[in-house]
Amino acid sequence: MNEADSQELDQALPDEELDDEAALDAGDEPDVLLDVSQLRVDEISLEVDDLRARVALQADVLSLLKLHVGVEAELGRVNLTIKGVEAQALLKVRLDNVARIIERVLTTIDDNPDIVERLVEQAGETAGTAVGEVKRSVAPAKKRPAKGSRPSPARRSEED
Amino acid sequence: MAGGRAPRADVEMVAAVSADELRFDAEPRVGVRFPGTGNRDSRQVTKRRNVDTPVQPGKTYRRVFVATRIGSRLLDE
Repeated sequence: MNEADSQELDQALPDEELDDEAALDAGDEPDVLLDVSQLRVDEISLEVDDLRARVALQADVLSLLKLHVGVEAELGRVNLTIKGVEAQALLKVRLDNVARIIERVLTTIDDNPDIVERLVEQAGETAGTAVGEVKRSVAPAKKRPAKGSRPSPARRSEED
Repeated sequence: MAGGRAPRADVEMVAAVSADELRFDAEPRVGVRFPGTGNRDSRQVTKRRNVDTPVQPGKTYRRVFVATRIGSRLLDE
C-alpha cells in the first residue's frame, strides 16, 4: 500500500472510530446497534467453514416502493491460530435515510391520490384475473372421476 | 461514510482485531457482498498492519491489527 492509500484509509477508518464511545459521542447513534465492545482472549485455534454475517434493511410502500439495502460478510473457510487477541464488532442500522425516502413517497401520494386509486384498480383487475384462472383450473378437475371409482364401460372394454 | 466526510451508511458492520500473534494454516476464503435494490453507495474500507495481502499460510505474524468497515446506503435519486 502506498502512502496516499494509507492516508485515505486513515481518514476513512481512523482508530478512534473503532472505539464505540467515540463513535456514539460524535452523533453517530444508530437506531439498531449490536455492540461487542471488548473481547479479550489469550489464544484461539479457529476452524470455520461457511460462516456468514448479514445486516439488511427492507421497507415496502404498497407496490410503489421497495427498498432493500444490506451488507454481508462471508468466511468460506478459515483455519487460524491467534494469541493475545482483542476484538471489537459493531452492527449498525440507521433508519433516517429510509424514513426520508418513504416520507417523500407519502408526500407524493398525498399530492396525487389518484396514484393509489390506480393501484387499487390494478390490484382489483389482478385479483379478478386470478379468480378466473382458479375457476377455470378447478372446473375440469370436477369432471374427472374420483380416485377408486369404477371406470366407464368404454374404458373397461379397452382394458379387456 | 465516517462522520462528517460522507453520508452515513444505512447498514454497517465494523470489526477490529489486534493480536500478539496470528498464523493461518491455509489461505482463508472470505467475501463481502452488498445485497439490495436500487442505487446504492456501498463501500468496504480495510486497514491492516503487519499482515501480508494475501496472507501466507504457515507464516506467523506479530503485533497485527486488522480493521474493516462495510457499509451501504440507499441513494435517494
